[in-house]
Amino acid sequence: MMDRRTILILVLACLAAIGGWWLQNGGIGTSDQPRQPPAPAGVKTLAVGDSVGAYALPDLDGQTTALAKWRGKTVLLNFWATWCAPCRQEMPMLAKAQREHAAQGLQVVGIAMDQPQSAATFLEHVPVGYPILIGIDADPVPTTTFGDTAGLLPYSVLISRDGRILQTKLGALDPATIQRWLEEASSPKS
Amino acid sequence: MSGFRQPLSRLILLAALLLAATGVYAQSTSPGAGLLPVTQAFALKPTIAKPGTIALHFDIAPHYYLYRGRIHAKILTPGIKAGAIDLPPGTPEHDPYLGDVVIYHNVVDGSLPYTADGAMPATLRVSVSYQGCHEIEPKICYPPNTQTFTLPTSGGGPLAATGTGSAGAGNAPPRNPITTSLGGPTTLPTAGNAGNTLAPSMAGPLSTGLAFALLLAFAGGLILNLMPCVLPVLAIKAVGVLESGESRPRARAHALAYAAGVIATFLAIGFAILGLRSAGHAVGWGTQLQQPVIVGVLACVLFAVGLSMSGVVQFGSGLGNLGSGLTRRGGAAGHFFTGVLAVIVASPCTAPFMGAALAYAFVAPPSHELLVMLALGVGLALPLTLIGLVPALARLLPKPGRWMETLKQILAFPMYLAAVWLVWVLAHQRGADAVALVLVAMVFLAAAAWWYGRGHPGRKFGHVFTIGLGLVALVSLYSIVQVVPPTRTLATDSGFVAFSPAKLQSLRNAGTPVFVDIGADWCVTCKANEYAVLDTRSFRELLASTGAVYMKGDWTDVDPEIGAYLKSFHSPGVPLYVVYPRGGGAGHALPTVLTASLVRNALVHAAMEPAAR
Repeated sequence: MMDRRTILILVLACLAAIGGWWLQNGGIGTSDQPRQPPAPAGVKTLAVGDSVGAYALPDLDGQTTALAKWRGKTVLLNFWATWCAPCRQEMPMLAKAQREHAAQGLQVVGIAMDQPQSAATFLEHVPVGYPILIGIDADPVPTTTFGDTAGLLPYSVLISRDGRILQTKLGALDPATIQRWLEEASSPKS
Repeated sequence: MSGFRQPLSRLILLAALLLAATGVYAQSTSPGAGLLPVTQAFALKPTIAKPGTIALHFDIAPHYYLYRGRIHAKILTPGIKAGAIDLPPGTPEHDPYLGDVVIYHNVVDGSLPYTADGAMPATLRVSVSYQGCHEIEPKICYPPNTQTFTLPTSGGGPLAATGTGSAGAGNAPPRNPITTSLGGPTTLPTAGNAGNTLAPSMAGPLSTGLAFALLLAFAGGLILNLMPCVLPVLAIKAVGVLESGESRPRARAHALAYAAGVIATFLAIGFAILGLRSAGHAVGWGTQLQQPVIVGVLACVLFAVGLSMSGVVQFGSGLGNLGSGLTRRGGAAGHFFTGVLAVIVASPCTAPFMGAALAYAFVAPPSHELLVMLALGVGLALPLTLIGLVPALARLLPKPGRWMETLKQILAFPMYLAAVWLVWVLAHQRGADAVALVLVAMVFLAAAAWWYGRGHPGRKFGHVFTIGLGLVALVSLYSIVQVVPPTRTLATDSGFVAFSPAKLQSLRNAGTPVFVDIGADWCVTCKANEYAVLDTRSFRELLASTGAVYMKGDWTDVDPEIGAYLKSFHSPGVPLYVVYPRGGGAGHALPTVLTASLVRNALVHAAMEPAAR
């Protein structure tokens, strides 16, 4: 019906169209995550591969706690708030993951984008057993620093044993993702 | 003749495939993909509807919700005391931790009363905070957002809005809300998730039975053949019919191929709509033309088909000596894709009856939706298919001859005009930069076509060159994506007000009759109505005599607010005309094709409505 050249042209045209669509949608890596707005001017954000350095936040008692405290462990930062239903839903699962994967060096750290009082009251009802830091009063906003510039919750960040950001995810995690993240974190290159 | 038929078929095939590929693009960027910025997910418009009360109107995008208990407002202007915020009942939800909470979908109309200690200042500063979430994947919650507005106490919308902040310490919810508390039962005409209050009474299309919807769809499809936006396709079809007038089996084969193309495309659209619907996307007839890239591609397609019909480009002189059997099959494929193209180019048009049928289809069960699409396809394909199938009809056509070449060349000109129209649409969407890009793409397309059709001794290089030129055209078209839309300035002294749900609500609260007109530059039906009815002196006089406000919304570009409004009327696309009666009563949608007497009756009736509500 058509000679080969015509088919070649058609295939190329289609490839170009699909390629353009792919580029438009952010290419590799970001395709399954909603795009975040740019951070406010002058605020530094950390990207995958960056070191969290000496980043520190107060805990529920107001004691400043540096993330470096858990160097040597794979840290899963989970940003949450009591007003965020999907956050509250995923927290028991994170507590379970902490219990199951502690031996593999997992350390879940919750960061409450909420008033300490509200967070403490919630944790009395739903004890999670992993440490909680308070992010609400920090400046710049911790969610922004860790790449969630819109402040959407829940938001999770995986940090390697040597303190570099490996993964980020907007929206609730699931056990399979945590498993996969841990496997990646413990592969030789990290 | 055969030297012409095959290249045209090929070109149409190419065009159809290109469009199919860009269709994927259109779907992925349709409104609703990804997450909206917080001020779009929860669009807040405060107005002072009457002295002493600030009306707080939220338009909530589909699949987003607001917490009633997390809406707070306070007045920042010194000397002004705010009363208790009054919010509608909403939908009760049980939250395992928070207990019973109330959430809002679609629309919230709240109010905040205020009193002045001394003299009333000219403006008020009001700060509103709210918090909500996205309820489908990705399920996320927005941080509390606080917006500050400056409102003229003489009434109307905000003079200035500031502080649309994101999360964080600076924008945490007001920790000591001095002036507000949640109100009790409300008297506002809103009922939580009962739907958009702007359109409470549109049961019409939903109560349409399947059989009636199919009849409407079939009639709509038939009439679509006569709609102005299908003119370029009629040109292609006319040529196709004339070509196939040579032998009966061929005519039959071509007619069936064309019908198959039309129907397959309608079914494909039907499946696409089902997919989008289940993913929670906003769909509408013609919405693909909100994507500037699609408009650019369509313009280039029409231009290229025009070039081919003009005979300026002799595609495939090197391909002409293929076997006649191959030619015949190539012709059938070409007619199939002519059908595909007919549907795609027809999409800016909404024929009479079609709107109601589509409105039914967009909310009907999947099998019914596909049947409506099938009926539309049969309707559109029928006239030309009949000519091919029934020899008696075909005999009515004149004998082929030299004049066919002339006719074909004449019919090229509507194609160019259609391309001009699309470039004009693009100019409105993205301005001069995008126009330049699409014109560059056209030039390279012409160059590629010219080189391709020229015939060349060094064949391998020749084709590489053709592909290169074509790719430049494509890159140029895709660059349109990068062009930032120009700021649209809306004339305020031209006899109409720009559409906004808040403004509409305040006009209705004030009891004013309103004529709402939602259109788009790419909507030919809208333009025809404007020319025939709405841009006339008698319409302006009618507005003056009835005291109605003419409110115009423009859906040329993606606009979630207008999308939500169309949805609230179950309108599958534009145009949508709604008349709100005096006294703030429910709006009534008018047919998509207006006549002067129809509009006159509607407006006069609306003006007479007793102001009882």
